[in-house]
Amino acid sequence: MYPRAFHYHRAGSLKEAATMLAQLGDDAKLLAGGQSLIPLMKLRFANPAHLVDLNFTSGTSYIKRDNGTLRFGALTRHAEIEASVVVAKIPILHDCAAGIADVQVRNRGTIGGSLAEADPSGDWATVLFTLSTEVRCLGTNGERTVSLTDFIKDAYTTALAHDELVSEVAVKMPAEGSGGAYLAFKRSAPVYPTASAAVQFTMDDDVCKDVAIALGCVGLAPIRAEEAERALRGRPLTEKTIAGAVDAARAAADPQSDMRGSADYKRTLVGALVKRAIEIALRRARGEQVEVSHIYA
Amino acid sequence: MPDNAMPDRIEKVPIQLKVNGKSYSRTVEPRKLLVELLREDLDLTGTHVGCDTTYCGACTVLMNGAAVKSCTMFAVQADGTEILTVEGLEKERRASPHPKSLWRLLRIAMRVLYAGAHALCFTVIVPEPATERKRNAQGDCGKHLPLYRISEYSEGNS
Repeated sequence: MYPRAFHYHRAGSLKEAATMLAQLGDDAKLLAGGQSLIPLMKLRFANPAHLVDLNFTSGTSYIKRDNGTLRFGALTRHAEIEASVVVAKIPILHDCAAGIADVQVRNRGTIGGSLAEADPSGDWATVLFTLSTEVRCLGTNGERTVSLTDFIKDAYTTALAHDELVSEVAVKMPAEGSGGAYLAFKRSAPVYPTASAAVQFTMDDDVCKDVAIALGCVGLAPIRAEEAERALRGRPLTEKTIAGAVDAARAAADPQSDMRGSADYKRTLVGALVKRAIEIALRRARGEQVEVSHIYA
Repeated sequence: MPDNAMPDRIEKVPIQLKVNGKSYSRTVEPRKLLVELLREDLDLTGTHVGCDTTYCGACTVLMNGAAVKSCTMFAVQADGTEILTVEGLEKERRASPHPKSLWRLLRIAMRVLYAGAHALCFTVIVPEPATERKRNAQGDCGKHLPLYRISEYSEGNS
């Protein structure tokens, strides 16, 4: 399949890319990893007249730890995050990076591209909703920082202005005694998940000091299950409190029926994923090493 | 841009890349996919187009040592890279048929297995029948290997 013909522009830096966007107007799109955009162009759902390629910029792919913040360059590939020793210390990030699509897609796809696309079925936004995350946006008028919750506006809609792009994703390192898990349910490796759940705990002995729960693929944007969090925060984690949180998470989901399953099915699924993610996150918060991968049907 | 409008004049882009150890310079239209450059311009038809929608992995090649789907990359993006296709793997195996190199070949195959891309495993480890190769080179038949069809139906892609 051939996409519509387009003009190709190779940016030497992110700043140059922003300038190109401003000059080329609404018919220009950025090409990062291309693992969503290129299929969309081949199916002719996206028909940009101009593509600005970011893959030849230098110094845009990195993972840096500074003062309790992890900084990801926008062009950092999922595979690089998967292999990172620093990221391995925050298991929920590793779960996400190692589970996205298949190895070929992870070798190309980028964290900045994933957030900027804001696909409701994407993995990164759901996971990063449970951590304190800021997105740096670079435009022709300079740089600004937007919290991820403000950055994702709706399905495929972000706070980015037309001449702006994501330059960096900054994630606050969780406190000591934290543990998290991300579980996505997929029908096969390369497809988007049917539903996903991210849980991040900070424990104080057996009492839940803080918790963040986010649900993916069951709404137009990732959903923070705040009622579910309230059911756990400040309480000892027992079977009963966890069951209450799972019920609340199910109620928070707003799924659509589609080829991946009915709305009822997804709601049930998301409850099961939250329950399992809570159990794994809890074991990790207690210092246990637990390997998880995305779950396949 | 409206679906049926075409930009006035598309500037072709010069690229240089190494495929299976050999250097190539070509000038390509930006929308040309890497798999089409390999199959149509460089006549390396061992790499197959499978699903053409970034699912199956039949078109996987190694770019600077990393597995990528050549149907989901424009050829212009491969400028300055080194590509290894199934033909290159075959040459590597033939050139040094001792356990070490065989192990290397298997390691690449394993990477593909890990991705669940059954199709490519067949293209890597099962020699393509001569008739199929001939038909593919002429580009006048379905691009799937019969073996691939089996995996396509068993994958349950959505």
